[in-house]
Amino acid sequence: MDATLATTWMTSATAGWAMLALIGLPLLGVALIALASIGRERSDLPGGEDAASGRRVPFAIALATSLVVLLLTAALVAAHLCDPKTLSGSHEFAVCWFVGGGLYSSLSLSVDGISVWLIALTAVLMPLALMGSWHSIRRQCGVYYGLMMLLHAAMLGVFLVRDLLWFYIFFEFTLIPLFFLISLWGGSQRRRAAYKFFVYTLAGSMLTLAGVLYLGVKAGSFDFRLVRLTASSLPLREQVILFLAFFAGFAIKVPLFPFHTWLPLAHTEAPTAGSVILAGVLLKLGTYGFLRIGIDFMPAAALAVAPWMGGLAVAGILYGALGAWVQSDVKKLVAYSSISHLGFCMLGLFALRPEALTGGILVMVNHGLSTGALFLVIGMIYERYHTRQMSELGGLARRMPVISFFLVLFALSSLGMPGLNGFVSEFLVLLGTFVSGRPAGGLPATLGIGFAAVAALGVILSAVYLLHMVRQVVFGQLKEPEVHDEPSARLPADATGREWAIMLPLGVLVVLLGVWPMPITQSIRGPVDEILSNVAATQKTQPAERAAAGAQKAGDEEISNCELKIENCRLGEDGPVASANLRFEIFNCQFSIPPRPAVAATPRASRIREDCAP
Amino acid sequence: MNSDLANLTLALLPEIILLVGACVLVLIFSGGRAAESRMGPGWFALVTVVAAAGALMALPTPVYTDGAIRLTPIALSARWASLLVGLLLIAANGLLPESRPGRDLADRAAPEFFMMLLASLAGLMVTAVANDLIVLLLALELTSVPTYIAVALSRPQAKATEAGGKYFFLGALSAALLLMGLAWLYGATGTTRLDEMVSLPVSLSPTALIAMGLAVAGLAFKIAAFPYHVYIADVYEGSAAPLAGWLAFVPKAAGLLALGKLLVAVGGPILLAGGQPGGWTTLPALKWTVWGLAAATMTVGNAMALWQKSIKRMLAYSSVAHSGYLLVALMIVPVDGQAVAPALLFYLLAYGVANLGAFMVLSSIRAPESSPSPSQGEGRGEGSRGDREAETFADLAGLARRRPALAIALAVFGFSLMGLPLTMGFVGKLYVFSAALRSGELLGAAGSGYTLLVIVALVNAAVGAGYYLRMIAACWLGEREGDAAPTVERTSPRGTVSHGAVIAVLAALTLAFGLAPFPLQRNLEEAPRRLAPPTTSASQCPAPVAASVADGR
Repeated sequence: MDATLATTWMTSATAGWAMLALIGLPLLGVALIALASIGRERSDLPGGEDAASGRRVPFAIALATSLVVLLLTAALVAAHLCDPKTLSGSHEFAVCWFVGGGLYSSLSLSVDGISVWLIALTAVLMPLALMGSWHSIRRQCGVYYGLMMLLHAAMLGVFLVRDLLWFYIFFEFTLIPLFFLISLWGGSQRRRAAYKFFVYTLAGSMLTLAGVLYLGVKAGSFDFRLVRLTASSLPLREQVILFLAFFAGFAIKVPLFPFHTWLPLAHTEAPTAGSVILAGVLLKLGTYGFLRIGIDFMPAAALAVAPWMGGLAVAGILYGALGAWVQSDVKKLVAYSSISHLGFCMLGLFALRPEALTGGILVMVNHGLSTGALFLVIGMIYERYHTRQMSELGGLARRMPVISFFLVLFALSSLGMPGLNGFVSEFLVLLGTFVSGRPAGGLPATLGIGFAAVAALGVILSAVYLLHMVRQVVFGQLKEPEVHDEPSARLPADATGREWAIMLPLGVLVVLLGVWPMPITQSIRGPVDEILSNVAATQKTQPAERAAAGAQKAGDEEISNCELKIENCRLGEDGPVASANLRFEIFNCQFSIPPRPAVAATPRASRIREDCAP
Repeated sequence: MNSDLANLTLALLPEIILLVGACVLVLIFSGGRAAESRMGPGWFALVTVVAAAGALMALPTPVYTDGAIRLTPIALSARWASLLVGLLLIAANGLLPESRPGRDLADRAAPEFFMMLLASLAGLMVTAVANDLIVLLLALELTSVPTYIAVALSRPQAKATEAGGKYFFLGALSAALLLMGLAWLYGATGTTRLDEMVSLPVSLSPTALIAMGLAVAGLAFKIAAFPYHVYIADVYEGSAAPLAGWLAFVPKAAGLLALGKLLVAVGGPILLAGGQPGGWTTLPALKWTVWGLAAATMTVGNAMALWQKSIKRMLAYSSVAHSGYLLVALMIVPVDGQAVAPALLFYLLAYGVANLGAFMVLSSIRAPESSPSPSQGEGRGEGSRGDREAETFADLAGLARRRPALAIALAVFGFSLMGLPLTMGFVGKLYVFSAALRSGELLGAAGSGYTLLVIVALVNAAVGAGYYLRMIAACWLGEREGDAAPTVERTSPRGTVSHGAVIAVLAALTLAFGLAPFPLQRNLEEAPRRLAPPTTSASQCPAPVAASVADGR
């Protein structure tokens, strides 16, 4: 999309609506699919026979929706690259969505240098995943594509919101569609996989909910800015406990080393598109949560636990790599490699150095692209042979040169070949981890050479297992299992046009981000520096001084924001939210009077709160 | 005197309508004509509830404080909530042939059945406005006693009679405990008026402690709190599914309202002027009793629910777990020193709607007689129809394929009970737990334990997800072997349509208030603002109704 055109349209006034549209469009898609399939439901029910027209309509709606989302995202990215400030303002919708017990929450949206790339990743992967589903999904297509669209909305929502409660809502809501996607269209063990995935993830995120509520109650609002101000001025002990509450949900989602057991099963059993989205985007919800909430809101705690997190990350890198090495199932191999790569991401985040943090965020994007691509290519092979066992496949380069070429390309990208995208991010992470052994720029020593050295082993191992896989599957003697299945017989040996359309964009992106990552790294840098300066501020000697410094920095902005928010609540004096302001008053008057110990620690912050109380 | 009586009548008009309706219903429908008018009693009961709601709406917001009856703001909200859910419950029980009380016996018993339901609903509403120990006890018994009979009438099976008997005997025991507790309370305070007790010095004498111990024990039975929850699985299993939805809401709501009232009466108003924390939450004996009751109830309920093979028993134990969450809500420091917080009512509504929905879905699925039922023993007393209500998880298998709308509705109810986002259940949990955390913070030193309780509750919610997910998964994933699929009863299309309509309304409510909780929250929280409650002095003269119109609305 032409950048100037995008910026003409994308002003800070329209940006909010564009962001809302990103969440709303997929939901519109769901509604359209529901309407379209109501008439067909009857004929679709018994066994869901392969009716091409029954497949086509929901598929077309979903694909069209996701392409519109992609265009809109491109416009957002262009606007962001021209001027990050256009999008960084907070746009509030559903004002006073939840106003109970003295709490305030509204759907507030914003995009910064970090989330814009994750939104872009989601928007790029979704149409490709949908195209990858065309051949393999033949039952209950309306439901399938509807669920994909729900998932799309929820994922975009997580990256867009700037309200802790809504963050949690979207974060949690992703479970429902994915549960059904795995359990209805998955492999032979799909029930167990879906059940384990759901219960495991939910159990963790319930503790996260405790943390969300605690912070919301402390801050009197779920708005990121107010919550951050409150959380970062809490005493270290409390911050660490809160960090652990968030850790429970995020670490399972990532998944960090000892909490990874749900992942191989879920990845292997999910349908191709499910694996792509799961690996490509959903795992990033965890790392994004760690970054956005764990590190940014609780900087002192992040510093305190950094060595532990680094240790878990390194353990995950090695464990994932070794686990991948011994797999015989290609999909499982890629699943284990995800554990390893996400370990790199976490290592980068908790090295707490600008390079490492940038690298960690870049790993999120790059892992999403290359692992998503690998899952898609493996899905194509599976559609032809109905097996993923390496021992049953071999020499496919002769049979399907194009698909093999892309498989090798994505494997190389995943193992960090210089010139492709994986290299940039892993290099930055390792570099940042190396230098993090010494204090720099106000930041204390965090991880150091030991961590980097062990993590570097992971890079070598990733070359080992991926090249092992490539040798088995692509090269050597041609081995093809016998296939009698009717639909797969219709597929040509090598890539169809649809499959070209899936692989080519990913291939281009993989190379492009390998040779020219500058736009991303540059725009990430701003928010990263801001986060790290908050972390550095916690190192000031006196807690009071530290809090004052923190509040000083953020204070003026907070005050104006808070006033804005109250103003927002007043706006609807005669509208449906007329009473919001009223209740706001009730709670502020009655409940703000007793001094709150946590707030008392920060003179500046308590003044702000008084300012907020009408 | 005369105007006093008129005021009282006016204030209690909805309850009076319900009770009169109950009596008229029996007079009209009992007798030989019942066979022709199968739906008659159900529709009549429905109309009665609508009339009561109409009366509640049309009446000027009354400020009536006779002493024995007191219309506090929260009582008003509670009456609204009871009527709303009561309407749905009556509809659930009345409109479908499947759940009509007993297929063979019912035609004779139907009028009595609905009379019992109406009386029980009236009891719940009187509980909300009761301000006197004696009225409170009577109201609670008015709520409970009809349900014992209704359980026995609900199905023409020995199992239902057995359940009714069990429920009755344990209920009688709990009533005795409660009565004893209330008598001791009178002995300790010298008054039966709850608002007069509030103004007494805040201290717990040993007598008052014994009194509260007995009363809490008696009320724990009504809300099915640990360790008085043991009857619940048998009773729910024995009664028809929609009636189980009734049992999970009406007695529980009454018990919670009564418990809140008693605690506030003994411990004094919760939030004193100037934001000073006070009330029963600062009395360690009371606070930790409720704390322990809440924690134990939710933990035991969830643990038991995980074990169950029968869905009805699972839902029964899960309702025990929800009682635990509701007890957490009882500990919230509410605005304006009300007995219960708006969050509790919100949670009650969310839970009542979703729970009823789940029971309704169960009642509309018939499993073939041939498949084994876990609870049934030697098949005694089963109907002669060759099928039965769905009971096991296996009975749900393939539901998504045969009746997708029902499966979607069950998923919505399950996710709501689980507390997943964008359902009413999530907002309820959010509301209750955030308010509980907030209360802990407000109470300062006295607020210890709140955070821990919320964490315990959330861990429990995660456990709860396990068995609710099993229920949802069963109908989406399970495949039944062979052709012995659950057969859909279509004997009465009309009944099926209205049945579906009730389920649709329940699901729509669950989703609507999950997506946009604000309107409901506003109504619940603004009730205190809409009518100025005479909280200060209990002896204040009852304001004339006419005057209250002006400022009230």
